[in-house]
Amino acid sequence: MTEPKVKSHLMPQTLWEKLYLAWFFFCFLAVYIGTWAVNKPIPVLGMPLVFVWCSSWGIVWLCGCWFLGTKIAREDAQIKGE
Amino acid sequence: MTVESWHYTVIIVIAYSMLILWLGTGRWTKMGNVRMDDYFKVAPGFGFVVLYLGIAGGFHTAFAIPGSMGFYHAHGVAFAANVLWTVFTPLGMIYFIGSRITCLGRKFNYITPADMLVDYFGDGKFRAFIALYTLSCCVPLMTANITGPARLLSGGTDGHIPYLGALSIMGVMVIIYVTSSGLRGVTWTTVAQAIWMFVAVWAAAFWCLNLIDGDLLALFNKIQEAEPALLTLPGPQGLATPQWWVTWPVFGIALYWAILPRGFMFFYSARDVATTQKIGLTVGFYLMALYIPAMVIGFTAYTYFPELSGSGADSSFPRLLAEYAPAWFAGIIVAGGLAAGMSSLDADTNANSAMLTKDVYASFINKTATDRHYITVGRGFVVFLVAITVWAATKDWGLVAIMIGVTASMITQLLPAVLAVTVPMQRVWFTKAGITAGIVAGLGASLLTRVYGPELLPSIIRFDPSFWGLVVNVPVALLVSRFTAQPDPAAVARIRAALDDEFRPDRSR
Repeated sequence: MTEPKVKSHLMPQTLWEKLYLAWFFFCFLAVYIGTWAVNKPIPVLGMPLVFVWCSSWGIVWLCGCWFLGTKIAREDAQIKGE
Repeated sequence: MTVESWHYTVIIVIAYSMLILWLGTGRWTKMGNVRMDDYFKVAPGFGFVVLYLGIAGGFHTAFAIPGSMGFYHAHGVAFAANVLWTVFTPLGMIYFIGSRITCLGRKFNYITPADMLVDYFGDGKFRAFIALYTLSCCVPLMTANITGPARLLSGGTDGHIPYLGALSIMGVMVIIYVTSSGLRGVTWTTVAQAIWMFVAVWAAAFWCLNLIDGDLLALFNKIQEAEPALLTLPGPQGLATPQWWVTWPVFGIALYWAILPRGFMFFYSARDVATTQKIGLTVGFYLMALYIPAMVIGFTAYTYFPELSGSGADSSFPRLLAEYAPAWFAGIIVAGGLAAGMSSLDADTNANSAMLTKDVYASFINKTATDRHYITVGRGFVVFLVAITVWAATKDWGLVAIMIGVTASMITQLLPAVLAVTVPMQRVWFTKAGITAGIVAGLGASLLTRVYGPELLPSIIRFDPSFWGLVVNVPVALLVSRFTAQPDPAAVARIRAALDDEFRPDRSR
């Protein structure tokens, strides 16, 4: 009989967890790297482009992870039989 | 007697104070049993709404009002870096790490951050080291959270409430409700404070737009004429270099903000793991939304007082209020500033009092007393901590500002220890000696780069000092861990099993 394999918690397991991680880093890079590409004194709806870019991606980042996190929670609840 | 404008400010601040004291000492804050785990934290756990607003308010400090407006005044849209942490901290740290702290805290009834770390790594002097190390980080934060709002209150009443008087008012209020109700009082007051500061900051933004007699585009054009560098990175003072941008929001704030002791107390006080996860997924909306109107306020203040610089930028918004706002409106904003500062000050006071009581007094000085005795001692520590904070706030502000930066670096060095406990991997990488050596080495590296970095480091690698601290901390911790005693396998297995049950349920069922 073999010992059960020790589970690492560092890596995502399910598809939804992988998508959460991928979305998190995609948006992170959009704000970190992308901001330098739009670093110009241009007004968008009266607000500076850098501000609009960062805030908009922040909201997109939050909405995406909220959606995926909800999916992960539902899946976990199903597995645990809740 | 004629009614002067500052009287209105005082009346509104008194109303705010009464509301907070009522919320912080009411019957809903009374615990059923006299137990440490139901005073420093909330044993039955808070549900989503209360804890959401508790965490939301607790995470926004005096930097929200008036500090963020001063930041816009000084560095312009470089402030957008704060968007990064207001999203990164909830989605990365609270959702992933905070929920694991909740899991372990509820399973093993931890009260302090050190409880969790010593349960894994082993008890002894390590507990006192963690507690005192963490405590020394937090006093500057508490000082910062009382200084800004006290200035706002003193300025908002034209100096009729002197600065020391404003400090004392805030200090006494915090002492009353924290000694009365512990974390329950902290959280219920923070619920009201979170709502008040949110309304205040948005109201202030609309008032500012009205003040410049225009819309957002008019404000943009005024700034473009006066100081166009405020509209792009790196800002007029060159702060937001790519090196700063890529490391400060994550290493300088996001990673440490969630593992401050106050964060642990909130996570331990969640009703269940799902509650913390839901907060992680959604609290970023609140955190970010509070900072969006700061741009309008900061830029409006700049158009009125462009000559302010250095720490004077932080006083731009209070000055705008004092000179142009109706007194009743200034009162609402001043109370909003008090809410921003006190919502963090009280949470820090409670957490630090818990550490002094449980990790130092109950572990080394008097090990056999009753919980009632420990709570009484904890209340004494609350008074002591607030007194120190008020005293420190009367000293040199420049020194406090430097210490806040050091605080970030110090707390960030705890991250490997927190990750080692909460994120099991296929083998045990860190030992108690390794973690201790890593923290000391990392702190040394971060202090060196903070003090000498601008002179010694080439600009291309002039990253945030907290980042450099971790760069040194992790290898040192790994190296020392290879040659020192591993944590007790039974404790590691017990903690891992709790996390496996919750986060790696058997998917073959």
